[in-house]
Amino acid sequence: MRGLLACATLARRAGAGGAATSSARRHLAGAAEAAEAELKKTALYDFHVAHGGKMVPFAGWSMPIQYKDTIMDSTLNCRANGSLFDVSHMCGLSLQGRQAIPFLESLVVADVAALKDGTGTLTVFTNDRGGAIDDSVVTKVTDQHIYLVVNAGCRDKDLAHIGEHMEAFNKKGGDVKWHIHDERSLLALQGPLAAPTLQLLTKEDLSKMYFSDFKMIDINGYACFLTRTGYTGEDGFEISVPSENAVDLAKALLEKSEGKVRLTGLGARDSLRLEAGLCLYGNDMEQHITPVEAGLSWAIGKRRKAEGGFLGADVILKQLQEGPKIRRVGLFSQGPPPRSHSEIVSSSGENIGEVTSGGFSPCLKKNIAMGYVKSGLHKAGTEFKVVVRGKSYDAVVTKMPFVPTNSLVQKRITKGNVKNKSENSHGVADNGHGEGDVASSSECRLQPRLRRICHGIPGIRKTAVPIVRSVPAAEAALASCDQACWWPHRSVRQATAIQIAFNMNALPHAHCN
Amino acid sequence: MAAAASWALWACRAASHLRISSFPRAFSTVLKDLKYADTHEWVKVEGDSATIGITDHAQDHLGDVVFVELPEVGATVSQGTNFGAVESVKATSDINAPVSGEILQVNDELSEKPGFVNGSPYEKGWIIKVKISDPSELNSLMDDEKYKKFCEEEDGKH
Repeated sequence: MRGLLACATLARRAGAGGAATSSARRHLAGAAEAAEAELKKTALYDFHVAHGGKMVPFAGWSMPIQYKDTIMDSTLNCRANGSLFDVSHMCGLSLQGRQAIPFLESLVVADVAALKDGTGTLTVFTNDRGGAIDDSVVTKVTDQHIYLVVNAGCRDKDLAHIGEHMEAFNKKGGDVKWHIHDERSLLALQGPLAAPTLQLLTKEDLSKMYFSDFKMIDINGYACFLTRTGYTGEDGFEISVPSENAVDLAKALLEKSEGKVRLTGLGARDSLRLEAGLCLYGNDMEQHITPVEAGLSWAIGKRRKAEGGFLGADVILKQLQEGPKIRRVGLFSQGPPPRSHSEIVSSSGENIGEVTSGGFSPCLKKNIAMGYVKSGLHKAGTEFKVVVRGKSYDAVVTKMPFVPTNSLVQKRITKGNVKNKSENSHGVADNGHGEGDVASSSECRLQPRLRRICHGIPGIRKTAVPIVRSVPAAEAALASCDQACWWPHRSVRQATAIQIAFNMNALPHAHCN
Repeated sequence: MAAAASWALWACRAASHLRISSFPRAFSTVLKDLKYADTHEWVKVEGDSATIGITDHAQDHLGDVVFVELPEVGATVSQGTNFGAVESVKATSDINAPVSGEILQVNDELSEKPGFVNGSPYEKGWIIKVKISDPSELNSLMDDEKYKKFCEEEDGKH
């Protein structure tokens, strides 16, 4: 199994030198339908099979789409308790050298230089037309070391792209080299119990680790890269672990959660990210879609907006000024769940766009979708129709995330100000509770979060959200959400209450036991 | 069930693979007095009317059904062609008519409770009733023994 992986890696590395010719070869290889026998397997393959994982081909890998739990149950459990995903198919990459940052900035829209050491951000690799080659979470480990994770399906393309530009950059006297972390596996631990569970396996104080923070730490005795990020809208972590320890770490995490954190497959991962309004590259973002159109303008650093200096900057900066012609929107619809490529039409039947992802939301119990529509028709409340198998069904534009995001972890308190930020790792800007600067206290840190949680729950007035300082108080607050709320069970509310308390540091570790 | 529609980069492949996964599962229920189509619909014949639904095996592979697209009463269906669709959280599947005929009744309750297809595929989860136009078509369908074997073979293929 690892042999197969190693071979692939060798081929890739050999190809990196002469990117132009080898990319053509790789393309041919990729075009041929990979026979199942050729599918790559992660270090956890046997573990998945032993746990009832239904293995399917995904981006050249054999991955579990679900385990014994249904996709519906897995999705709900992630938000109620927690999920453990094997995402080792994604490609971890380190860029090292004195010019690692200027080099990366020539390819992405983020202000990497401005990141503090040990923090990261979502960014987009652009092409010279301003379209997205891939989205990626990049972390500035130090000013000479960048760690990033790119999509499995884009791996070959991304590595060819980065490799080609790196060669040119170094020829002109640059100093950058890369390391592809094929010796490592990647686990995503997500949900309200992610932090409490992980805390039991490390001495590092996780309450001091905030959203998008990165640390190289010891977890259960293994040398891990830990990033507080995810793709579910929940709080959580992505853990890069040496592959030989991956199975043991997965076992330890499941065991420490006492069965509450469940193995979760790609099926629920897709439902979760859709509910959180996060883009799936290949569906919601493509070569011809710019970050501005995708609603990711917030990911373009301020300095980058002023200076440009990345591929396709002319197109993107112009769009920022003039506004894009199309925009990504979220929508609710009647009838069958819309899927990607479902047509979006006006009430008079005129084509105005297309759905790029869609499905039934396990948490909201209704259809949700994302798609692109003409600018002007993107405002929340705009009504139109989606066409599914020839029939039109009512749809309405709604703000994303569809399910309030819980991936909030307060940003550091600076100069007496608390800035609450609930950015999704993969791309939904804070959905607009501009709290501004407020006096530092746990209560004001909590307020917007509670409001966000209660947002969208029928019967709860946003203004009526109480101040909460402890688990019982948080529980009491949530108990008032009893009617028609999307937490179907008491345990869910309890977990959420614990998470709130955890996030406000009211109970740093007390609830872990 | 016929092939899933062609959406989402991987979802359709994923869905089709759900059907052929090597995941060891308990045997689905197959009822004795019903007839079965190779696209996993069942038929219960009573006089000249036939009640049609999808099998336990089909619903098991589809997962949580969230929507059933029903045809109109009075329309006609013909054997082997699709008349509706079942949507699960992840996949869309066509429902094919195992026999030809005029639609007498559709199970409107599924609009509110599509989960009946999972929970009670042979009872509450029935989908349509048709007036059989050509009883000889029933001969091309499988009986329970044959269908059971058919499912085992299909699951064992990969």
